[in-house]
Amino acid sequence: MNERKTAVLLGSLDLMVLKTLEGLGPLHGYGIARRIEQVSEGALYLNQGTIYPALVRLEQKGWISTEWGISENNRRARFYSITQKGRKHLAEEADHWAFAAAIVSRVLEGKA
Amino acid sequence: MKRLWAVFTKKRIAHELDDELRTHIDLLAADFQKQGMSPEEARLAARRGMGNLAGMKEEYRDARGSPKLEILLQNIRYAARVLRKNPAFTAVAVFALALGIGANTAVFSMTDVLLLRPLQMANLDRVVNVLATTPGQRPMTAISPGDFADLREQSRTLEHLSVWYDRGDDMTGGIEPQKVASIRVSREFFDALGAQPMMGRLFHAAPDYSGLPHVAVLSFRFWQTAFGGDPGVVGRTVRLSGEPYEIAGVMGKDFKYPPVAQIWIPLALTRDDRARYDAMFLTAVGTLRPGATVEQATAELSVIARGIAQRHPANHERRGAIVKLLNDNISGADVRPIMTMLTSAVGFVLLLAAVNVANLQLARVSLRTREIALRFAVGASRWRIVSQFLTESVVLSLIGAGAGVGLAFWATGMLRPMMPPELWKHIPGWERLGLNGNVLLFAMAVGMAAGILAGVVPALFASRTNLDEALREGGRGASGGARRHRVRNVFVAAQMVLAMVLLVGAVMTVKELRLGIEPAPNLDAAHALTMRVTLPQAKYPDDARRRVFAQQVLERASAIPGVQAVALVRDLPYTDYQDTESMVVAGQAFVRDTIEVEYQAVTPRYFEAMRLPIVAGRAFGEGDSEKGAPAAIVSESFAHRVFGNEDAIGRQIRVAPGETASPWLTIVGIAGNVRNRPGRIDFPNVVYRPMRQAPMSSFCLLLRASDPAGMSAAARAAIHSVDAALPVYEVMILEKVFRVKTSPMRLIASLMSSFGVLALLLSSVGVYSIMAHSVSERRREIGVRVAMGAERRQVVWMFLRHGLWLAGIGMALGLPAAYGLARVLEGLLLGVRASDVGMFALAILVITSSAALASWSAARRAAGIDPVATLREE
Repeated sequence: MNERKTAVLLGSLDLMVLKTLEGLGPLHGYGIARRIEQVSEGALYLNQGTIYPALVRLEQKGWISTEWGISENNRRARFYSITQKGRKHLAEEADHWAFAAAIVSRVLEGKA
Repeated sequence: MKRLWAVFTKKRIAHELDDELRTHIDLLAADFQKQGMSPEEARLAARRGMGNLAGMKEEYRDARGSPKLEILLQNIRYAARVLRKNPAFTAVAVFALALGIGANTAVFSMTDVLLLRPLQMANLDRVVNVLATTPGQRPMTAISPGDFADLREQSRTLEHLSVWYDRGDDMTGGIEPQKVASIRVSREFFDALGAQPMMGRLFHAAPDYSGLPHVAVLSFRFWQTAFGGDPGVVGRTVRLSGEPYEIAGVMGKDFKYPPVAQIWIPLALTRDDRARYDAMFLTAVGTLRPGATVEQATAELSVIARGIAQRHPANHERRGAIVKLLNDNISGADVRPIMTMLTSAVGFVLLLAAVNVANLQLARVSLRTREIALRFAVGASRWRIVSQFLTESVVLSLIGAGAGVGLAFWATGMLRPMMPPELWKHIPGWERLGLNGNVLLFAMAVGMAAGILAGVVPALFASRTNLDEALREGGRGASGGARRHRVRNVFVAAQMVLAMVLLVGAVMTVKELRLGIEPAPNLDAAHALTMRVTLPQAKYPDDARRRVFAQQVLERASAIPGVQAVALVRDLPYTDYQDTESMVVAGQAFVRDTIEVEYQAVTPRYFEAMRLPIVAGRAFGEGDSEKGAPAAIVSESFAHRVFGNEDAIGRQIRVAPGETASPWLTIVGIAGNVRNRPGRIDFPNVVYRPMRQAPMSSFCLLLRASDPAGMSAAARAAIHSVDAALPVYEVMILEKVFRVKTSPMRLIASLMSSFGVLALLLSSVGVYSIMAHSVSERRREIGVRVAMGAERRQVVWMFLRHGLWLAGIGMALGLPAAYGLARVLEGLLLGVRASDVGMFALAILVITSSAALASWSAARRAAGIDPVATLREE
């Protein structure tokens, strides 16, 4: 595999969606997907459809809320925004993620 | 609720998602177009960029929709498929469950009408009885007029407090003279019950204690039977014990309080009556005032009762009062323990059925290891497997419940006529026995519970299926094994234990009930006719006139052609009017205990007509008249209990020694034992007196003839030729009197024995199915054995031995359990002992042989296995 595009890591999509919504405010699905690709500078290969099940999960956990609105191409679209509960979860998970990532890279460096 | 809603909004959700996705694709395509693609290319690229939409939508639905309900629906569809594919298994399981649930539903329908809703009236949750209590005794409904007046005046928690009593009158006037249950009721009686007449009016407007109008209200049933449902009955006049009463109204079909009532008439309680505290004969009924509870009313009435007890210590010592809902109090106190017994017994039957089905399902788990493993392999969770098996079990059980409801319909139809209409007044609600909404709900609930009960263990085992092993085994499923086999054996043994307990319980109750079923052996009751008359006080005020009447009736009845023997008797065995008296014996200086005796008055040929033997001394004769010496005949049990081995003939006794007029009686004979009350195991002490020395105002005529039914018109005519206005009632063949009175016992006995039979049937089915399964599981092994030269006999014996071994374990565990139950029953029943070895031997024999039979018929299939075929299956 010489192309360094990689599939989204399991469980990380939720976090990225939350982070995006925290940074940019209410967005529709396309906006979220595009933002994630932009930020990863194309390093991340995303089946854009997969964010929808993720959005439902987040909504059912109460981390994001939705309302219907009109998109820039004048179509009906659902807009998502992060809730207070979502922010809290994001903060916790981000810490956890950073901690886990630090350990993994320390181990990898040590052994290499 | 939210999830349920989601199922119905599934379409809308899908639609919304489509909208959202379309927007997304459009935006993405627009982006691609900006990057220089043609619109067509951009659209395709955008689609590709979305990934696998179908898979995504599935995931989306799972996350959003109602996975639980949808899984349930899927489970049910799958269960239906599995059950259809295994008709033999399904049939056996449904059969077992239908028996268990059906029997329980039938018993519950009895509980429903007898205990839960014996009456059908509007405000049953507010109508109460006031009962008098005495320490150490059951609360009684009888209170005195004085009690009533005080309670009514002082109570703030009860309203419309009223009383009634059943006097019983002769009714004449344009109809066949008859005895009626005429209930005297105080003014607010109908208000207390919230009753309205179906026709005409009530008489509650009458003042309470004076100037009573002579009006009467008929019960629906009495209106039908005595007046043929005549719509013009209101306004007619009838005579009750000679007094004219105008019929004011007819009550509706459902108004049955008190249940014996045929007619209601106003009760007169004069000022003098109300000052009486010594005669307790009134039943009090009232309504809770709005906001008041039974507990509050009891508390209040206890205080009032304490006041009465202080003022009237002579007859109210330590008497208190409690308040009970009429509905809870209406069924005799004997109904409740019987229903408890039947309900527990039938509960055991259901338990047995559930264990049976659990075992069948457990056996199926091993046949389905490959299927389960596959489901695990494609990602099913353990919970999903558990829920699948539970769903199957519940679906099975609900089908069983459906069939059970059918069974219960049939059973209640059989049970209803087993209680003859003559008894309905004692068991209100019985005529409504059958299926209703309550009963159907019960069947459903029991079905669900049984399904879960029977499914839990198999489901847990299924969810523990070891994936690797199962797939390696090629689904032949001999594995998983040891634990499951052990559990299956435990289940079979448990069935034996349950069957054993049920059988012993059934045998004991049936034995007990059979003991008390005939008053005495060889009475030849089919050839005896009986009828009762009651002489009105006004017309027959003294003994002389009663003697003349009795003598004339005897003479005229004896003259009827074909009559073999005629007698009069105060109370025939198994009729309602039994009375006990105390008694002392001459020459016994100190009376240790007063002896309770049943007191009878008979004419000379009674013993002949009744076919009761005179075992010593003589029967009464013409010499035992009012001029002769006071004589008595006693029963064998009496003679034995009182005089032991001494000769009773010639000894002197005195009945009712408290009464000065009671003479010393000389015992002239000893009669064979007879039971006067049904259900009594021990024979009572009976003292017979010549009727001429002890004239009665109410007695039965007893005629013995080869065709008793053909005698009834002539016998009536004989009585009416002496007194034309006298009602003749309860005209029946003696055998029918006995049959009517013992029908509750026979009903209980047949229920208990059918539970025993069901238990046996279910446990046999259990053994058979487990052996049959074991045979099919071990086909290969059997094939090898046969190929190696094992004989058919050996193969059969191998399985038979297993079945007997299980039966042995079941018996070993069941015996102590059954003995425990027997000890409990021994305390409740009179005629059976827990030490009755024969009973246990019988149960063991029956269960073991049915287990052996079941194993043998399963094992025969094993013997038929063709070794070549099984080895080729590899």
